[in-house]
Amino acid sequence: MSDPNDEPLDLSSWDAQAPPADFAERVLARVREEAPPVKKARRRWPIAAGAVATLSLAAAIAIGVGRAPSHGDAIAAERTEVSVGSRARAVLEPGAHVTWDGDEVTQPSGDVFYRVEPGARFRVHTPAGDVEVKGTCFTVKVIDMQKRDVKSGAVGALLSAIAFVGVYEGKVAVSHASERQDLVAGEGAQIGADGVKKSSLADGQKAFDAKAAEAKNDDALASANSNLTDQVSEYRKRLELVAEQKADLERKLKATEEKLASRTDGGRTRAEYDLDKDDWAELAKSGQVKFRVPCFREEGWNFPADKLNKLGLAPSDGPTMKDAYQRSRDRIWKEMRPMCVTALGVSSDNGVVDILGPDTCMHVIYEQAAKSDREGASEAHTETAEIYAGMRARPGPNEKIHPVMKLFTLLIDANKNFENDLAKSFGPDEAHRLAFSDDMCSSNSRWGGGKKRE
Amino acid sequence: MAFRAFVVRYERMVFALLSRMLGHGPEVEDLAQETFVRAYRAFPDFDPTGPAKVSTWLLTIATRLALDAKKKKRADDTPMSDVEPASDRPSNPELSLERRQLGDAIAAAAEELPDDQRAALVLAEMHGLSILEIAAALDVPENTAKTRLFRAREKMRAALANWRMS
Repeated sequence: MSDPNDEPLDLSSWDAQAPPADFAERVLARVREEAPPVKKARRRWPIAAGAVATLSLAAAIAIGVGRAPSHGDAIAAERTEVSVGSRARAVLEPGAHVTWDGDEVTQPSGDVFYRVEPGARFRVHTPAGDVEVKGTCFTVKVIDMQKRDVKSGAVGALLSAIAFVGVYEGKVAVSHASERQDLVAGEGAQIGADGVKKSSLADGQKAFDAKAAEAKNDDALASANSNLTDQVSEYRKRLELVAEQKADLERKLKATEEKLASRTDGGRTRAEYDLDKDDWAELAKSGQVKFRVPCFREEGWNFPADKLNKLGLAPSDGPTMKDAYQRSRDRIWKEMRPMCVTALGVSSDNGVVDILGPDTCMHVIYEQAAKSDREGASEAHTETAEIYAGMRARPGPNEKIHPVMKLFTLLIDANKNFENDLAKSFGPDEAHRLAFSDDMCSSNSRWGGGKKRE
Repeated sequence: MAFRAFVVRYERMVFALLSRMLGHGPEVEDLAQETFVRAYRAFPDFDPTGPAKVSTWLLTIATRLALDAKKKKRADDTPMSDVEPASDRPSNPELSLERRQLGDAIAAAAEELPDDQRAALVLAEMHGLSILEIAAALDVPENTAKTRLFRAREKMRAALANWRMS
């Protein structure tokens, strides 16, 4: 669609609202609130408001990991390695969460392997207890043990968390309340409400992993049940949306079918009354003309909303359509009225002409012309078709023209003029579609009786 | 890509679109936040090698949110006058008086456009989207997008011509 108005539209003065200076931080805060690995029960493990250094949630977007800030926060969506403080590296398994401030680490959840360079005291705080080292390799695993009513999906209060500490190198001190135990390489310990239970690294890890798997199953079930209510509500919303989309699709389908029909009817690429030179040449052979004329209603044509909808137009397009019809009628009547006055043999101010209007006048003009010159009228049929077939030049403005030819050219051109008028509002493609749409108010006429060309 | 950097890079664009769709006000920031949160959630599904540019994808999310918000506003029967009138907005001292007045006239004329035409206009004129991209953003056939843009431009030209004459 080309824009008939080539004047550029300069909207550069259109003021836009600027984002606040901390907008990105506000978005990040919302993203963090919605991040799935952080559960409400874990809020007892506060994350310092300013301690926002790292956050790894998805492979596609990660907020800079890899540097070694003195404080930070990391949640892993996949296995992630981070520098913790100045002398430790931590490998977080998916779902693990750690925050740190210097050598003080808080691990509310998940499995994390730590390698700590020898130095001052390094502590890992878990909901179940604390781990203290000076330099070693060890792993800490934490599970939230939440009491769940699986049937209802309700999650009860946090009863406790359990943690497992496994030591690979060096020595680690594990404490819970006032109890403290030292672990060496190859040893492990489970920390829970009932204190610190030492074991071998392999056995302890196996037992803990079994508990973790059990908790995960419960979690999945509880989560699934608790989502049911939300799902019902969501499905209801979707159904409503689908109903809206269905109505919209039906409207689009109708417009598309109409377009398709106008393009494929009988192998043609155009609507029946959308004629090209070959069509006119065929009509000339049989002495016929045919045309499509927009409705003649004097005050224009008021399209009801459903008609506009069928045409693929918005309700706000109604007045434009009405005005286009009115202008079409005015154009036709300006030319036809004097012809009608002549045909009727009355004075130009005779109101009868206006009472008859274009609908009747076109027949009056044709009948009178045919009555006074039947042969000429018959020839005018065929010559008109030949003009549109490109076989004959159109008479110049000063040439004498038979009233029948004058009438036909006026009526044949009416739909093209109407289309051109619509194009100013809708563009040429849409205007063409509309001008030949079956849902428009138009009349199609075929006039035979012309001289046949053998 | 750091998500913060992503937000910073595109925040002005998203605010510009939303404020021109909805008028200035707190709702713009709410929807801008929602735009980025949705983008964040959907990012793993975004195909960076596909035909859609990141900016176009973000604008699509923002446009749909804006259109939904306007639809909801109408359904709630909340008068649109709670959107700050263009002439009452705090003015930017860097802009000349004439430019500010023109800007206000543009905003007022745009406010008269139906939502779908306004969206097509903003996406095309202010963000340089193609007809195909606008059609995808508004989820309409290409011809409908063309028509909407055509009508919107025509109305804006008429409104601005009237403003200049007055």
